Amino acid sequence: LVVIEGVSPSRWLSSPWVPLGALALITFSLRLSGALLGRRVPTQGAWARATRALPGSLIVALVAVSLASAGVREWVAALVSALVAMASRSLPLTMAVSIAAIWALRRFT
Amino acid sequence: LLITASIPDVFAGRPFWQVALAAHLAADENWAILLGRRAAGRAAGYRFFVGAGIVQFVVWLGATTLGATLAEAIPDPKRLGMDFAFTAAFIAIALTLFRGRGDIAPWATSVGVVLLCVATGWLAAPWALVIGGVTGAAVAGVFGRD
Repeated sequence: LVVIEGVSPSRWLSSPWVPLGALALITFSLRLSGALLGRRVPTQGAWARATRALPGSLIVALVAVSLASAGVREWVAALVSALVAMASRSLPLTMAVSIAAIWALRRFT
Repeated sequence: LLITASIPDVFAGRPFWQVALAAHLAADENWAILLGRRAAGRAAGYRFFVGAGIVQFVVWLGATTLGATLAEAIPDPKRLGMDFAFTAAFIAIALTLFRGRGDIAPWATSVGVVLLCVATGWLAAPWALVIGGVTGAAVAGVFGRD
């Protein structure tokens, strides 16, 4: 590509700051539009029920995504996590026991 | 978008710059601990969300810098099981969010949709997450009771 140095858009377009800036802008607009959208949702009825159920649904979907392509060991460890979480209600303890469980499962099975 | 849309009360009545600030700091983790604190029956609103967001921002930068510096000293994070910490944390948070029998159908829908999407290879994981979360919430909206 023959271009005049300093004038060509190919020069600044190839800077890593261009995709970085674009991604930052997209991410921020998505988060902000969520906040503005949420303010317009009514406080009763089907939309309100869906909004209230959204956090839980998203979190279990997140867990499902991380386990979907994992193996049997990960599913067993996830069961351990759930049991520890229910018994202890402690986030740091659940994380510590789960890491120990998955380490043991991967090491010895 | 779904994270900020799911907590409308945090943004209610706030001026635009405060909404923009909180939206900028919004992430899985401060959202999750906000919900966890509420599930435990304690008040948590805008200040909690932004405060947790700032702490998270600082800790994230510090920890990733440290991680990048020390990366070579740690043998293999996967062999130590560190990759599983994230999954375990969200399992624990999910259980604190469980409100009762009314949540069973929406949650089962979310999980089912995600597993179906990933198993058939129909959608990539990030899209499966969004579709799963939204269908679960839709089930609660359409079939649920107040």
